Amino acid sequence: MIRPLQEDGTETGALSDAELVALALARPASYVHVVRRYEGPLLRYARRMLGGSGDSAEDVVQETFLKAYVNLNDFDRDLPLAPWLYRIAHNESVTYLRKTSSALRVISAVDSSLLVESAAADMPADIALIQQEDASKVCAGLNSMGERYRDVLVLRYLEDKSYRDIGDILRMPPGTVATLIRRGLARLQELLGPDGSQQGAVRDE
Amino acid sequence: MSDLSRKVIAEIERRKLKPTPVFVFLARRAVFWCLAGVSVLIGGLAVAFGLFALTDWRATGGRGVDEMAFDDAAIMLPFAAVIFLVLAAASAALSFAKTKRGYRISFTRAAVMALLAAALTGLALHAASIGSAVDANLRRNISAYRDYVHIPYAEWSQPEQGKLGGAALQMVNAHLVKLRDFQGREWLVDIADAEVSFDETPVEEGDIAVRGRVTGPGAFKATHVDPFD
Repeated sequence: MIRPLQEDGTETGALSDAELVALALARPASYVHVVRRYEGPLLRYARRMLGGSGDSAEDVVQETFLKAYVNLNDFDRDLPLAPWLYRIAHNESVTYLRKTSSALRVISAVDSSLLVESAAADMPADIALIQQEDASKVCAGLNSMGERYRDVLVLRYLEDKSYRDIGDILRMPPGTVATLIRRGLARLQELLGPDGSQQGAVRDE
Repeated sequence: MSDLSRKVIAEIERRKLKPTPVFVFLARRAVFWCLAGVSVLIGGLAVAFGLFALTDWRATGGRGVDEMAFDDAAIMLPFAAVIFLVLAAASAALSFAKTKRGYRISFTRAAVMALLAAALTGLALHAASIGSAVDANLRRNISAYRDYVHIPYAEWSQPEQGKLGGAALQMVNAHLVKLRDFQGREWLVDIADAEVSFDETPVEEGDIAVRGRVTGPGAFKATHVDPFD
């Protein structure tokens, strides 16, 4: 892998987020290193937000990086860059969906399986069993939940974000994140419960 | 360079984008901090004014609320201050939530913190007699407040300065009135040479305002006697 170098020969991979931002502010061309560091995770997240469309995800991530560049001085250098970029990507995705009048974001069957697998430690064993037996049922269950629950579950179990990071991305207290995750998992268990009946859509309260 | 990073750099150049100067963000944050601060200060003023209204009410010397002139309006004052305080705390919490890391604290916690901050500010302002100053300012500038809300107990609780107010309890004789002032002390008021501005006896009038001078312990010589309202 070719490591990007600064003029003085330092590898930018060794730089902290704050140093990278300072470098981008001093030399705009260095912003490319910020893009390289985060394009992968942001593209993956945007695809999940937009329901798998690759082209629109790339457009959204490009806008995310452009917006981040314009607002680079607003970045709090005491915090990691990822939650800040994720927040912009999240907002850009929501704006994109509104603009294109798209329906609710949809979690794919693959992501649904991944999510339940990742959340298995926080859920009863029978849910994991259902997931293996009927992935489409899990997928339908997740997609029938309110957006607030799905957002936190996706960030927690698919993007592997901490409560603090999720709070920074969705601008809410970590306590609220914990509550939404707990309730989201409980709703999922209800939806995929032993009686197996989908109990209708669960929207935001 | 990846496709995306090339596109992003090309777009930055094509649109001639530049990072927004840091002072713009500082100014934006300062606005929300100022709004939060001003809200806490307004809440503090409400607390100070409410405390003043309560202490002014207590200055009536334990008279029952029903005996007070304009009692309904007077008793509403501390509650109006509480409503103002709650609104100010909510406003402070909303402004705080818009600051850089304000979202990390729940609205309820921020509102409780704002309430506490406003209460402490109010206590400090009350200690500095700001509540009294607010009252004086309202009295000076708002006629409705002056006419219907303000009851000048403090003003008529200065016998050494020639102003004595209270309830006329009994006519000891034709020229001597037994009066209980707003602090609950009893006085014998000599009205022999006083100009009385009402037709009834002072006892029939009830609350009276007497101008004159102190002539001894519990003794007052009146020059003017008016209804207290």
